[in-house]
Amino acid sequence: METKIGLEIHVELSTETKMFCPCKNEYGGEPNTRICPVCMGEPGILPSPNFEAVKKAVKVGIALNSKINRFSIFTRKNYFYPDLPKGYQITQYGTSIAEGGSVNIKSGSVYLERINIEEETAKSIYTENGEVLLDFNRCGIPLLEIVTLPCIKSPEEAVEFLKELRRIIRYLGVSECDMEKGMFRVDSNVSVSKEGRAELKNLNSLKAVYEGLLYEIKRQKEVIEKGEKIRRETRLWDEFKKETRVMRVKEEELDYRYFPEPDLPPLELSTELIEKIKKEIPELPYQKKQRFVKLYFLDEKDAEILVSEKELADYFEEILKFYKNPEDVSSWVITELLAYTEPENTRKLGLSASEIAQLVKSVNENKITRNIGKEILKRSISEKIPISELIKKEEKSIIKGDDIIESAVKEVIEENPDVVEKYIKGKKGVLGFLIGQTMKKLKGRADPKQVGKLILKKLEKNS
Amino acid sequence: MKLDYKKEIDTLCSLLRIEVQDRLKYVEHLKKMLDWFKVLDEIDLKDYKPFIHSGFHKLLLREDKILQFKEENKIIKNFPEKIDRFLKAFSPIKESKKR
Amino acid sequence: MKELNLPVHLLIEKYKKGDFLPSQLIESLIKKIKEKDKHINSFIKVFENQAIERAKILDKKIKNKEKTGSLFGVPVAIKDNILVKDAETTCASKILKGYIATYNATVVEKLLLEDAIIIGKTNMDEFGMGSSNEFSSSGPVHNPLKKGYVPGGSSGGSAAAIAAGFATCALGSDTGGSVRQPAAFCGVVGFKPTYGRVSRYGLVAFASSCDQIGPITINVMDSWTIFRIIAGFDEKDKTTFDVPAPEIPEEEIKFRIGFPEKLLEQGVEEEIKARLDEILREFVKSKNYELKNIEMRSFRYAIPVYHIITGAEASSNLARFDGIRYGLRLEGKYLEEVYKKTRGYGFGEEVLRRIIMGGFALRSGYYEEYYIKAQKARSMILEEFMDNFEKVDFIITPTSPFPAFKIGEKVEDPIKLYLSDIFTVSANLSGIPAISIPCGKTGEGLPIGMQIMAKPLDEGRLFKLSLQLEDFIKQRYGN
Repeated sequence: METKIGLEIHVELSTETKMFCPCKNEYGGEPNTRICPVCMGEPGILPSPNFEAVKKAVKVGIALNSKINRFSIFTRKNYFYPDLPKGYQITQYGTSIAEGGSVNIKSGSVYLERINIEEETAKSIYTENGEVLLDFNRCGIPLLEIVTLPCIKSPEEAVEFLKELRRIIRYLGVSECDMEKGMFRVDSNVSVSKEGRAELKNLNSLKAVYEGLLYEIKRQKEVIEKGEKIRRETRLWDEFKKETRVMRVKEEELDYRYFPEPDLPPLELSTELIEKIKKEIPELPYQKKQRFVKLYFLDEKDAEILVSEKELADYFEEILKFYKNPEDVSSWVITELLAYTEPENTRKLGLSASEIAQLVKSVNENKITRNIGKEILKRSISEKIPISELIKKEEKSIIKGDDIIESAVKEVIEENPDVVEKYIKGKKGVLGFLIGQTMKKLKGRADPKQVGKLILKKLEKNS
Repeated sequence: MKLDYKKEIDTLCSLLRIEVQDRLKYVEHLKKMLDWFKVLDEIDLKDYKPFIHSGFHKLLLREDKILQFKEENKIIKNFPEKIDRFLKAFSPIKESKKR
Repeated sequence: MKELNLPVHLLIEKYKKGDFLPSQLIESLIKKIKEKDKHINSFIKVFENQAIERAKILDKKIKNKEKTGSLFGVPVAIKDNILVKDAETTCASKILKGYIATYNATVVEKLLLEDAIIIGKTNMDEFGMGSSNEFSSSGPVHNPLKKGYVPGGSSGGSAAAIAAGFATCALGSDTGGSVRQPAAFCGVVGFKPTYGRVSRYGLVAFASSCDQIGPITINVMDSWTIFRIIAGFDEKDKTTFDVPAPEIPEEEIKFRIGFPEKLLEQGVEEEIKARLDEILREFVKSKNYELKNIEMRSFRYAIPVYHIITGAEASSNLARFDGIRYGLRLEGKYLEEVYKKTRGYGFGEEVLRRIIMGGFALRSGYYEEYYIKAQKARSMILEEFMDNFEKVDFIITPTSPFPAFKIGEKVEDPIKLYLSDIFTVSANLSGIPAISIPCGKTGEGLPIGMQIMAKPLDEGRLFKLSLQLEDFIKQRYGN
């Protein structure tokens, strides 16, 4: 049995205005404030497509290696739902703005079928007593529909693909892709045999994608093992019960009665425009990663982490401008900074690139210890004190004279006769432990190299 | 394809969300119309492309500039039922109706 | 007040001379409507207070000698499928009961800018679907020229209002003849511009690819005046043309007129055929124009093609009337029931017939056989027109194969009623401009209409010929 997964991703584009009217495109806010006759489907209205949304769609198409269609048409998809004011959604069916394309992941490529421009529906809020409340602020926001071929072989691959896709789109700056805010939504179709497949809806997080697909594959295999057939149906992933359940079976399947939108002439793109947009495409994550490995001699794994978000990658390179030591800067960024935040929010920590550079440099030059460096980072983040100020203080308070250190060393040796014994018997490795204990007593305010030297001196005396 | 008119009318009423009093009347009408449309079979249309768009028009796209409609309250005033600024609609599920 | 029936330029002249004020005209007009429209039923709503209020503002403009618009104080009636802000817009349908328009249609904005006074909203066939104005939630309209007869449709209210002298000009909408045919039935002028000349923004869509707003007036010059004002590119309607406004050419042109004689052999009432024949022959002789017999084979297919395409578009355009956001909402236990009850009750029988048929044409499995085939045949119709327009400048036909008929006479047989659009639908399918001008009456006293069609965007020359023909006919047959 061969598992085949196809994904359908909806991405909200971050334009100023909605797709077919000049209402503001913004998340949330007081209900039904950013509405107009057009996005409310009032009688007599006509759609007016947003140029910027079209450009952003083309940008995504180019970045995903799709063929941009110079000529595409808008289509009406007819169905009834309270969140769909006109009773039809303007989308593209038959001729899309972009066709084909691929995204590379570790195990190969995921191929795309098409990319369509369409419009977002309103937000429904379900109350406890069965009422539905509608807020149309979201209604009409430009939406990209990205459809893959059913070529994904496992839930792991699906998640990897989605991560990469999301990252590329974020790099392009065309959408925030915030899954919690519904800006990046995933539906799927799954089949484990040649006959029968199920559509899977409501996969609203990467975790849901993974778990939902895993469950659905298992369910379908069990059905086949029982000798039954997989019905063609749409199933809903229930995140709480951790199961998929039937939403509608094929017999009830909708007939969307697609037909060309008569209110909109065909969308024509000039080659000049396509070329211009091509030039606006920034370095994409996989390109950036290659460059980091080549230029900065970083290992693949670190480079991968650094390019996970454009913001982080840019931040990293900015730090390098102040201190050109890629290896140590990357180590500090990955192990220390990312302990405090998600990659996309590194800048929100409020630390300037030059200060981080100074911190790494001070540690490297032994002006402060690594531990103190970490301490400084922590304080700077929590107390909002500039790193430079904290370094200055620490430099002053660092114990330079031998006497204090020597007395601490003496104490440690006296407190750990068994360890000293081991050292004398030849187990040189315990030196590190003694250094550590001494540093603890000094609250880290000494140079461990100096401490080591003094311990050795003392031990030599003792033996 | 042999068309079951009665069943087709039922499907269409369901797709179009309409409840009609006298289904047979619509069955008869659809039958007559489709018979009438057979006149189109006389013509050889293989050299013609579907009209769809006139070809005279060029789609001019809109600049992405906010122009907020100022009378959204007039839109809300037309809502048949509302709660605060929300439009009150209905649950799609048959059982959950509690009024 | 006998000045109620003046054409636009004469009315404005009277205002300027100080013969009477806009408010005086509007007051007496409203009195007249109140008195006489109960027998005609041309209005769904008369803007009594608003119209007088606006007229009083215009009175001041005269007194203060301010700059005035080109429709200064002209009372205009608007078909009830064109939105006038803050007024109920019903499209003569129960389903829109209570819907208050939140904006002005582009054409309404343009009329108001020229100082027109909107006198009210006119009756129509529900959502523009009909040729007799019998399918209206506000009741049928009576032909002001002959009691018990239909005024035509779907803009029957607008045509009747003009024929009855309730307004100087009216706007209608024409999807398959809905401006021209009622104009012909009521003995007035009705014009459908080139598709894309006039913005449809604010016109409640019936069939988006065929709908066009057009004026109904007492004469050709007024039709031109209104047309010039409402025409033009609109950012809000992506199917409008960004081209210069049309002009009536001043130079003498030796026009070539096409007349599809063979087409008239079937189903056209003898009296109508004879009248057109006579006028055309004598007119071309007097002008030394050329009259050519042309073939229009595709007309035979036009009505089926028209019904497939407009039905399909309507089934989608009317989906928004669902009881959720505005208008009628019937109670139900759950969503599906609310939808079905609201729409089943809210739409009239003719609308239901059309959207069921149209929905069918778009069904997967039938789409190619009906919708796509109809669109191909539409290309063929357009091609035949364009071929003919290589040989002639205009094509003339009767507007309708028969004059106004009795109320109730054809209502039971929808397809028979559809056939009254035989000469008009092709202009909508191919997007060309077409006008209907009156040419006398039948022996029974029913007006006869002549339709003149021209190339896309060729309105300037179309009006030049129409003015000449109007002149010729008036001299011959009087008013």
